[in-house]
Amino acid sequence: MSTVSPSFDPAMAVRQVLATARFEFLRLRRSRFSWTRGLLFSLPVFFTALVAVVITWETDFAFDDVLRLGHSTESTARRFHDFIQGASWGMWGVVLYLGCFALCGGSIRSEVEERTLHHLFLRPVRRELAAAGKFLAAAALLALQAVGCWWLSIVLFLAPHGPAAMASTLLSADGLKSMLGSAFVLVMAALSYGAFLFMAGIVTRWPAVVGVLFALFEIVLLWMGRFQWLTPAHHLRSLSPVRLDPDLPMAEMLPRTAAPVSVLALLVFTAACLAVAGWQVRNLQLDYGEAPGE
Amino acid sequence: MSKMPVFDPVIVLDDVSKWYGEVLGINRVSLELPRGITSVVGPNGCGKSTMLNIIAGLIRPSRGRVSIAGVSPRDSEALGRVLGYCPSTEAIHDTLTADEHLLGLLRIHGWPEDELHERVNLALQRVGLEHARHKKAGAYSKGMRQRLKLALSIAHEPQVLLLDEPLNGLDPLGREEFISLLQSWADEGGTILISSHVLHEVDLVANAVVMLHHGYVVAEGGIATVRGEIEDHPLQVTVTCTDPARLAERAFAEGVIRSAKVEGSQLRVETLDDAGFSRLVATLAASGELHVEGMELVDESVEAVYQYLIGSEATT
Repeated sequence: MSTVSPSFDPAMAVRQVLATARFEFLRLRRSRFSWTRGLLFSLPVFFTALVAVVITWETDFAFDDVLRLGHSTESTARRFHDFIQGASWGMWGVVLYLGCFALCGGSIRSEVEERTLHHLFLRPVRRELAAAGKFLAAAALLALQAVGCWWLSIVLFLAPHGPAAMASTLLSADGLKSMLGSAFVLVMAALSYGAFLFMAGIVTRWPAVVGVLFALFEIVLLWMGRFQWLTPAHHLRSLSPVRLDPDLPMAEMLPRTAAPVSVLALLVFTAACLAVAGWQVRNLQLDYGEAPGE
Repeated sequence: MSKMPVFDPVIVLDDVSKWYGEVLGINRVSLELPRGITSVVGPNGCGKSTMLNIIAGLIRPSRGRVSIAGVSPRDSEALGRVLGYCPSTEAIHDTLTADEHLLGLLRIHGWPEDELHERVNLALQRVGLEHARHKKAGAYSKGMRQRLKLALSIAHEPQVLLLDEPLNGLDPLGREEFISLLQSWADEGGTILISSHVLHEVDLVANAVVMLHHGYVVAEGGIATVRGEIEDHPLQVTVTCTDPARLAERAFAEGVIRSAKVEGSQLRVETLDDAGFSRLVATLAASGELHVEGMELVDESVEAVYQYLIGSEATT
């Protein structure tokens, strides 16, 4: 007897992935962790707003150069530059990573614990596709939250100087490039870190340990020369519109990789993680620990 | 019901075993279940849910082969179209409404939106949950949760329906409505496998039975057939008549009963010769010695057969 459907319809597969993602997106949006995630992502925004207010109060610096600070030599601009570097590292390296862990790492696991995963697995969809749909929903929600939060932070930087200054800065070529470039990096980070932690949440019993080890691995590889190329962090930095100063602890120690190569590397990494996760999901036994005698 | 090729037997388990480490789930189960309603009975922990989960493809057997309407449970895509499963777990997404559950999950089947909405409306109507379709499931009573689970399992009109303790939480009216729904489903050619540890419930709906005990099938077939296979076990028969003591006396004299108990106008006997006892009752009634109001085979029920087969630990 065949173990897979004899014919594979790619259009139907795409529809099923999107339908699964749509359902999962709604579920995640309403989940009991919504408030926790909201709080996590609001922290950088709040912090940014606070710093913007303090700096505005301290100085009379013209904010219209905020998004082109990489080219500025002014001392106050330097402070903004440092802040943006720190904020981007904090946002991409910590907040988003934690978000990926909570949302993607727990995507399948939480449904097994809540005993609701069978609702999805009993539908006429290959389990790998169902898993892909769940991942896409989680990554999309994360990316939306991260991008929204980052853009709000930038707006808050500029807010004290009025709508005209804000508009001229944001609508300048550099401003647009920075906003869109950051959004792209956040989307790629949500995909790559999300896929890794999604896989860790399915394959291992201790996804938190794996998540911490992976973060340490990325940090350690910062000092391992060309081995940095193996980490998503390197490729995300290569795509980032913000350049870290060489004297900062998390500086780029390897020359940037060309953007198309970095995008490809991140997509391959994402696909590999999803393939492993899909294989595991296909073989997942769903008895919710209700075996006789348990 | 979905138009698919007709398979008979519909559900086939061939030498299926499931072990959880050293714990036995089910052992060497071979069954060929036809269309209609079959019940799987047995006390909690006897392997009912394990068997249903294997058929639904949620867990894999340690050995053996399973086929549902010609589909392997490993082919989740094909299986999801022919099978509906309502497991015993009550879990649903508490933050979503019935509408959102059904629309979201049925959208995966790939139907056009208008057909999708029609199917959702019909499913909610069938289980009587239309009034609460926009209410979040977290606020549902146990019965309403059960109705939603049933709606999820029948909304795509599967050929085969697996129901694990489906009547739990339903009020008497809900049970009656649901039993009638199952019967009409079966009449239309559907196949239903229903598990319960409450034996008299499945007795009302099923026309065949699979009895499990500690993971083994101890009996299977039509309820009367299973009962008939127990040759050395006396049948229990109750006769309601005008003079039960006289009937008992005559039956002992004819040697067609082993024991008798008189309760008011009722006589309950144990007999190995039910045909001889029936002839005697008919003769006495025809001669006017007795006026017989009714005669009933007491242990034609699932529960009685199960108790006989398994003993005192049968019922829970």
